[in-house]
Amino acid sequence: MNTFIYLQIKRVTRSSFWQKNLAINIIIGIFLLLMLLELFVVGMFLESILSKAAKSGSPEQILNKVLIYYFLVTFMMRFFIQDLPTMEITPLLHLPVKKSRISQFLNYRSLLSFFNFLPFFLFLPFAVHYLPEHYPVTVAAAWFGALFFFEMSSNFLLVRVKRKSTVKPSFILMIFGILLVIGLVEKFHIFSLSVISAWYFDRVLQQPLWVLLPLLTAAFFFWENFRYTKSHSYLEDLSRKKHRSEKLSSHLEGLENRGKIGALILKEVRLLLRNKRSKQMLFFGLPLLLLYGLFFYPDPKNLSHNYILDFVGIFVSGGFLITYGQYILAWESRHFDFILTANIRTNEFFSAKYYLMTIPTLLLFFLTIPYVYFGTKVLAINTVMLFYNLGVNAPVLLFLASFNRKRMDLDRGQMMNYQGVGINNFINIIPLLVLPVLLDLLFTTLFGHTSSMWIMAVLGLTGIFFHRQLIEMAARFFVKNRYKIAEGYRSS
Amino acid sequence: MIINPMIQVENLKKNYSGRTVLNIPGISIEKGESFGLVGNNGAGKTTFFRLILDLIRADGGRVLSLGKDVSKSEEWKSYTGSYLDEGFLIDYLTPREYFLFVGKLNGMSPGDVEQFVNGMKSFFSTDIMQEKSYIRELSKGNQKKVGIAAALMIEPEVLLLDEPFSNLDPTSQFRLKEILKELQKKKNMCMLISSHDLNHVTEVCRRIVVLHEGEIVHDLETNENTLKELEAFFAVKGD
Repeated sequence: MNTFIYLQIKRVTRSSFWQKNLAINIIIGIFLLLMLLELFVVGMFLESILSKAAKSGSPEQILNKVLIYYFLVTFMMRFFIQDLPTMEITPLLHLPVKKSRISQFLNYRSLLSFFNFLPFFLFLPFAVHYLPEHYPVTVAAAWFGALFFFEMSSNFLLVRVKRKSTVKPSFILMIFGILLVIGLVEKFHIFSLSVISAWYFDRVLQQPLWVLLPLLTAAFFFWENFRYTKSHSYLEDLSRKKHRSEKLSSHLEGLENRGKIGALILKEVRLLLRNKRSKQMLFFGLPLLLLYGLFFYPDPKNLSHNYILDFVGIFVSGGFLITYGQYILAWESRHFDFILTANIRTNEFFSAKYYLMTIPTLLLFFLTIPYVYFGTKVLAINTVMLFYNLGVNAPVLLFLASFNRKRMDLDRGQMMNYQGVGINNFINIIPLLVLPVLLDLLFTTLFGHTSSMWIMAVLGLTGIFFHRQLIEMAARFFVKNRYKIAEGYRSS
Repeated sequence: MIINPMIQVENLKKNYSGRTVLNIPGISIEKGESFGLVGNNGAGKTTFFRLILDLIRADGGRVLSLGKDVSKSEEWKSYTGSYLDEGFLIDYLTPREYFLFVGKLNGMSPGDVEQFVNGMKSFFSTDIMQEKSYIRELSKGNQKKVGIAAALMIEPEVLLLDEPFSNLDPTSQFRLKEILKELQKKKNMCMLISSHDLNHVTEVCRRIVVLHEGEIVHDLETNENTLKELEAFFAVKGD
């Protein structure tokens, strides 16, 4: 077991990612620490917060009601962020190491996740400080124990779910669907999950033995994981070779008849659909960005601030443009030498990239039209921002492509994945998001808002009109930088 | 006496961190010539090929393909087939999709592609067009076969292959030699092949150039003594 831990530490500290990106790692570390600190502060004041919020009932009763939401939310967050504990098992399989050992170790390893520490910061102060004033110490301990074991169950359940399925789109849609149903049911007061939550945790406060329920659940999931990893640690399970139906891309096969540019687009669609990282972008990232409007529009205060509407407008139709376009060349870093030597002229290559960015943007815009519900102003601004995205942001991304020279690993997930992310990428976002907002502010102060919108629209339309010339300029710029880009992509 | 130069190299130099890794004052490769490049690891074989394909910047001199500087014109791309390493494979496509894609880029119809790959059946031990796995899931040897076949498929005037025989099983090595010899005879293809394996390369190539520490030290017409000469050279260098 010690050897395993030793190997894991070595693996992290000796990975090129760690060594090259020490600065980013430190920043992330500080960020996480601050977050824990904040949670701890919240935890310390939980009692007073709750008693202020309480119109009826004691703080613990209120808390008991909402705990189930806490678990739902953290489970969702785990789903997106938490990685499976992996270890290079292959070199160990032929050595005299028991499989049960390995699988046990993997189980314990998952406990290191950030989320598993949350209850200690958020709820422990409450359990230590407040509960013993009103209940016996054993009850307080049982209450916290129940929380803790639910967190453990959540952890092991997640690991099990993630091991089973390398995230399928249908699964994600299902989760979004369930959340929607829960939300609707709560909204129309048909049924509230808080009833279950309150029922259980109130029981714990009366009879501490109820803590056994989550304890058993946690133990069950732990055992289930153990069983699963143990029986699936053969080489053929590790190298996943799946046969899949490729419905979407076979529908698009007609693109192949649309000349070289069509063939390039089809190839890129396949890239997006067949690699883990791009799939996550498409199936998590896009829906979130598209729904961005729902966070802002319902609040009338936001509707009166044009700069917020600009910002949201850029995001809702430009979500794909920005997330995909940021890495417009890097997506192909693994076969970049092919691109450079194949019978494709740079101009054709860049044209294909331009259409790949703009066609989905147009489609996304049509999906955002229902936002007109929040007023015609929203639609007007979103339309202007669509023009801006197509005419200005898309060509800008083609130029910026030449600055992104980091090889990208498509097998890994996207969430919290900073591989292939350079400081350039953070700078990239600034002109894309902030510039249109600033321009609008400037024009509005000079000429008033209506004129400003017209100017922005004309700006975008001009870009669309001259897109051929802009593509050509970007291609020429790329040719100047091609050696450096190719070299960056070759060395990982 | 240069009759029909396909590739001409003029004062070509490449440095890495101050060290010269390739220095070729001049060499000319004819149309239809089979050109074998041999040398130990680090002799500059791959660097030379990458310079011909304009993948890295030359620190001096230039490479001309049919009289045009490869770094200034894109024309060479239409008649040059190459496979150096996995960077030339699109690993999330199935072999079939990859062949069709490369064919499309070179103006071949799906029928042409199908016909060519079927003609290569003896090279692939399996029916590669029916293969459902992505290229990234194939074995190293099969990946290489796919890459080489795609380079041959476009019937290039110039073909560059880096270490084509390594990682292949003996049968495939044998078949590859047959295919290369036949293509060269039939299509008058100019072939540049680098290899560690002196046997294979002397069998396929009529001209052998030895690179040592970035410089050309031998330039030989292949005859019955070539293999012995080469072996003698490398036996000494090995010490």
